[in-house]
Amino acid sequence: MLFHSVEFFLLFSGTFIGYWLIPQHRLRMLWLLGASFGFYGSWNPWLLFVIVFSAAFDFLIAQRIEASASPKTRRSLLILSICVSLSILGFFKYTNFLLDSAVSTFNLFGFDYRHPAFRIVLPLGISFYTFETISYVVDVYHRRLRAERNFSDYALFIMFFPHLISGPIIRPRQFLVQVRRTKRFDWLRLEAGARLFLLGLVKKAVIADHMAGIADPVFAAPSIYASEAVWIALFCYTAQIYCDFSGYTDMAIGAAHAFGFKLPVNFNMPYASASISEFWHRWHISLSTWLRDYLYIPLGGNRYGALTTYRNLIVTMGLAGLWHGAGWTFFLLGLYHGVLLVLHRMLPTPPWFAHARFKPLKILITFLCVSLGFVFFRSQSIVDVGIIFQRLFVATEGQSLSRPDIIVAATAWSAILIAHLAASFVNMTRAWHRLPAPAMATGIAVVFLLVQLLMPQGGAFFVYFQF
Amino acid sequence: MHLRRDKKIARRTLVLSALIIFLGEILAGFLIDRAPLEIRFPDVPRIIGLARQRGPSPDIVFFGGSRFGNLVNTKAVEQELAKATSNGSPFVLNAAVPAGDSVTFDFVAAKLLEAGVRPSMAVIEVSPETVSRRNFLLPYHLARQFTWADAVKSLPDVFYSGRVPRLLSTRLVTVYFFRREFRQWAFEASGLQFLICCPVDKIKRLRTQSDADTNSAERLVKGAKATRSRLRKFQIGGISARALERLLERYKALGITTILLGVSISSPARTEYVSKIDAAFLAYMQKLRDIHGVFFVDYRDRVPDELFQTAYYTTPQGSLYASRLVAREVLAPLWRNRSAGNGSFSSKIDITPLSDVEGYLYSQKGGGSMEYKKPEIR
Repeated sequence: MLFHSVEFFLLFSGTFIGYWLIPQHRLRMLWLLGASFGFYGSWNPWLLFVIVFSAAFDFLIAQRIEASASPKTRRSLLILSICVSLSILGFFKYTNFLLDSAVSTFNLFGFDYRHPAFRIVLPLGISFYTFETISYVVDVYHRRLRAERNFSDYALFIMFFPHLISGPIIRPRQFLVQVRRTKRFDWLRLEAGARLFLLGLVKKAVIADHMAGIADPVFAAPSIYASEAVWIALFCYTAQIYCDFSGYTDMAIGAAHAFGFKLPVNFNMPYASASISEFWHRWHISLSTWLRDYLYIPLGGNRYGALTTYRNLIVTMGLAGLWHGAGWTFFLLGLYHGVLLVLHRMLPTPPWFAHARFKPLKILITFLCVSLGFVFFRSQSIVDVGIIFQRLFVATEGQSLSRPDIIVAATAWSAILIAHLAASFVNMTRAWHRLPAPAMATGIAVVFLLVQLLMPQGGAFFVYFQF
Repeated sequence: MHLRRDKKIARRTLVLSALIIFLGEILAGFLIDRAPLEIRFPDVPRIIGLARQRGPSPDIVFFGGSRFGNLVNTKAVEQELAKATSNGSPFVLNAAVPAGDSVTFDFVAAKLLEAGVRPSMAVIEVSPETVSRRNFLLPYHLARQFTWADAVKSLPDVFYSGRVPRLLSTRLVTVYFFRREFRQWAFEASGLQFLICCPVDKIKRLRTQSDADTNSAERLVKGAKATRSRLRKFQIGGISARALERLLERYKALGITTILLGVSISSPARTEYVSKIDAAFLAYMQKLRDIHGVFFVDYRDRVPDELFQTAYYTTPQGSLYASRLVAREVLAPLWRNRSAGNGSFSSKIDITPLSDVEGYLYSQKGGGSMEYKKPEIR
């Protein structure tokens, strides 16, 4: 059930109407939880057992941790909880990857070993909700949060359907407070939510899906394409992944507003970053802050000297890469970003380069580095990574992209650039609010109708659904 | 997020935008009703073009859906008729469209007549599915040809066929539903046709290529299961029957000889034509014969299973075989009679055994049943 589908529209509308018609707060939350069950169950009802088990286990463990006075017991329970959560994630996401890697290693040393192929269905959103349950137990362990007593509230924190599949990764402290707070219908909030949802829809259904149509064939068979086609496809994918993921997040935040919930911002014009460090402050913010708080800092952060800091950066980003997907290409993606972050810390910036006039150049360099990183993200194998890099840096002849493809790519990038520039210089929300109601209404309606018109036939899945 | 203070403005904005969107969708519905056929139903102008290729009008037109589209080999029919009659080869047109039933045939026939295409003879595909009140092809009709007026008129059948969501999609989410058509229309009107190719369509094509790998025997049985669902709540009537009767009436008035041909399907699919359904269907055919003076020939079981690639679609050999069979057994006697100035049609058709139809032999046994033999591979 994609956000830009009629099924989601019906589920959302029904949930929204029922939610605000129910007078009691507790019943409303249960209604919302029921809708979330329906939403998740629509993909595969059996996977509800996995998410409910994961949530229930950590819910109970957190209570035991809070109740225990012995540091040793508390620590053991924390380790148990993290191990169980990661084991579930590992089983569903990494079993085949680990077995394949083991087989490859055996074969490398001359052993003819094979393993049966396991057809494991990856539960949607497992990477996201696993991180949320871990952060909850860790927060309770550190006494930053009281253990939740109401299971339905806790289940809603994990399963709240707007953010369930692809985040943002919400912190229990941010969300559980909101679950307890009685909600009041607010037209302002609804209007803000509708605008955000529409913005997300534009990004996903208009830009990302069209970009996918250009990038996918090239990444499927990079060896037949010419260098310039591969460059264009790479930039199309750079646009696609941003619009796809940030579009989903915008829709999630917008949908949450309709129920009176506020989800954290996940993207802040990442392609306007002037350094790789800044990029990670603007891209998938909920993941990067989670990694910082629950992995990088516990590893020692930057407190133990330069070498330890570099190691921590590499380890954190390597694991972040693996979090994205079970494959060596994802691990390489993490290492690539880890190395970039280390280089950013290591290499001194000349004072003259700090001048504002060099900012566009810095943005361009960062953008190119990030785009090249997406080669690891998008390629289907390490062999393909090699082919694509070879095509990118050694002029090679081959199939070109069609004229409509190039026009569509240029139009989409122009739109992204204009949006980034406009948002850098103008407070869009304030400018929007200066308009009279009929103008705003016409704007929303026209954009909505145009989105419908420009949506490609057979829109693609959200890229992050596979994680 | 910075929220404005004036709640009234927010409410007015949302209500007004919802109203504009609703009106926009309704207007888009009226607009798409006026779209050229090239945009909304491109098969029809294609057929009109084919009809005009070799003269003012074809002599014989086959009206059908994808089954006829697959089954009828016009060249084979023409060759057979040329052999069987002495007065040259008639021009045969296959006016079949994918996902077509009586509603579509009526529409296509009307458009052909509007374009001045008036055949001497028409062969119309019939089967219990094409005259069932529960019209399983309604989603296509709603998308390709129904206007606001048609949608309103067909409301009871839409409810009966369980296609209310589709009706609502086509009429209330019109911009989204017809986005490809609107885009094409706009691009063509503005001279930007080169932008019509949609990138995602290409992926779709790539994805569907793998479907061809499915085992053909599996497809035969799998496809047959679809017949059961299509014949659920079987009842003759509704828009399908009305459209067929309208078409027959129109052709009768114009003096066009019309043959209703029970289309050949594989035996797994035929098993779903249970006796109750079959009896109702045959009775209805009898009624049409009596009222409209048309011919009905039942070829539902005349093509052996090995000549089918799916439950409904024949192989190229099967198509050649069936086309020759129909041409020789049905069309040739009629065409001879017609050429001789006698429009009548004997119900006792003279079947001449075919000696070799693309490697398939059959010999006529007593009682008219056929025995098929596979040739030796040399």
